[in-house]
Amino acid sequence: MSKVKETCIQAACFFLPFFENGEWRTKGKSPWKTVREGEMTPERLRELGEYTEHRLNRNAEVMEFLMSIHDQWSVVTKKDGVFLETTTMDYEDILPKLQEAGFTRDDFVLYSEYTRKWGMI
Amino acid sequence: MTPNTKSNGGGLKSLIAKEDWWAVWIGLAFVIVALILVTIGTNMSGIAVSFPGWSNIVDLPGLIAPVLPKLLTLYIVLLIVFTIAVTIMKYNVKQFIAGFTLLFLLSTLVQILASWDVAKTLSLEAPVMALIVGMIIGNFVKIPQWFESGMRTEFYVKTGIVLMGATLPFTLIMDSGPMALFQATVIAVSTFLVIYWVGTRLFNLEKPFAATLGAGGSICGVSASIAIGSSVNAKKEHVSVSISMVVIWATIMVFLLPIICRSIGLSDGSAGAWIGTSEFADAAGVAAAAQFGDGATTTFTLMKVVGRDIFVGVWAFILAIISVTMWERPTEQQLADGTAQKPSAGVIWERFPKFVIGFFVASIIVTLVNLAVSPEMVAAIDSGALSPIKNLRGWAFSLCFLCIGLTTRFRDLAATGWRPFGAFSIGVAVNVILGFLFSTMWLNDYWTAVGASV
Repeated sequence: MSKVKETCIQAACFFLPFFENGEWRTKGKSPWKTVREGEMTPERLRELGEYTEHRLNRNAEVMEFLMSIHDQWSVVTKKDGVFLETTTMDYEDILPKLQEAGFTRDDFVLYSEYTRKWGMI
Repeated sequence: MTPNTKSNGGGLKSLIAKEDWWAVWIGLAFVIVALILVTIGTNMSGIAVSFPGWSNIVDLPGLIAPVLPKLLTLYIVLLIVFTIAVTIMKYNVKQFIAGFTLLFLLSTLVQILASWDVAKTLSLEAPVMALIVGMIIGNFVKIPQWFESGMRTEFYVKTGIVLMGATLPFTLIMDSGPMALFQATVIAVSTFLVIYWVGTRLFNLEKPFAATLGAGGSICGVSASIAIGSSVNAKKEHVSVSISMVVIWATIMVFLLPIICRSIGLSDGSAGAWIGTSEFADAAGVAAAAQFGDGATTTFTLMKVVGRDIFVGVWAFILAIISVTMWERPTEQQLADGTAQKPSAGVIWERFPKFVIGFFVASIIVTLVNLAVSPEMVAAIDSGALSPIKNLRGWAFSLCFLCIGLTTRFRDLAATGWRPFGAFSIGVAVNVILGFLFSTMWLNDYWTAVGASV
């Protein structure tokens, strides 16, 4: 395909969920819910602590990596995770770098939102 | 321009952060103020501006001078209203004021030009005149940044559509809406499937790309390409190409469909229904339908707004599910532990064109008021409120048509490549032929009657 002139703006958004069942993950239960269902034991608390530490560390690693390859991120924190958004680098350029660095689709959720570049029909 | 993003898109904040909602507030405010003014014994005719016909340029100053006070009032009212909106939406206000002022001046000139006897003889009515003038300026003159800030095509057309709701009885929407929905759905689904099938099977396009193209050609043009492109995580290049395809074909259809409608002598109702089915973008469709009478505008609106636009969210939801479960192919482990992405039904509301709510509410308000008051008051509302609202709607559309012309810069469109062009064009052919058969043969009597009833 010949070189395409851009007629839209892409907002590439990477969602880093605090738990595995983020906005898009309804089947897997949050460990915070699971932990309330059974009998609480010190071991279960430790497991939850380890899971949370692993999850948040992984989020921090993804965030750190994204910030190392691009410096224009808008960071928004919501109750179930962190959004990193940019309109100055396309997700098509970001994804291969993430994969190369060893991150998988389990570490983030990708959203792309488009807007008209000019006020056309 | 504030881009759509995942973190600024929802919640109550969007009620004052999105053009869609501002079109609702502005349109409804005009309708309510117009009704209140009639109730207290006055009306909104102070901002209803029309230019008398003329044949000799030396007569122009004498004909225009009496209109100037109303014109100035209209400019000030529109400027204040739109400036409040763009200020809250955090656009560049100074640039908007400058851009809007020039746009309003150009729109005034276009309307004066369209009142010329020669223009009327050549069927160059205001919408076509605005498009042509806009395209000439936009493609041959470098448009400065500050002027572009005033070109809010979608904002003006959405405000106009909300105002249109006030002039369309809700009973008519309830009566004819299901038929519009039936025709629009059959044709939209057929067109989408054709573009998708041809795109993926014959031209080997990626599935998200073909879906984005299909949505642009079947649902609601650029808005659909953007909504579906976002839902299926299409590449930026693919969304750009889809937008370009829509703009190219929408521009061709603005001129082609009315010419065919006139040449075969279609009724206003049938012409509007066909344009509503086969034109790709709202604003372009309004421009095409406005070349005929109110009947065409009514059937166009039923077909496009009621039959097609409101379902963009449903399309986005369905295609997001298909994208996640089939195109992105989650691993067995992801499926087993439930960590595969799963779209939420919230997408339907997220993508819903909110200005359509304003269209329905405006229609319901005026219909209920008319049912509750005396026949004398109904007549007073018709002349004192609905007539100025129609005039205001005409100005909103006029601003929009100029913007379409000014922003349709062919050199800025994507170099699309022949494969997507082929897939989209085959879809266009199917859409236009099916739309023609439904509107002018199978349901011709129905749409003619609906058009004649307004």
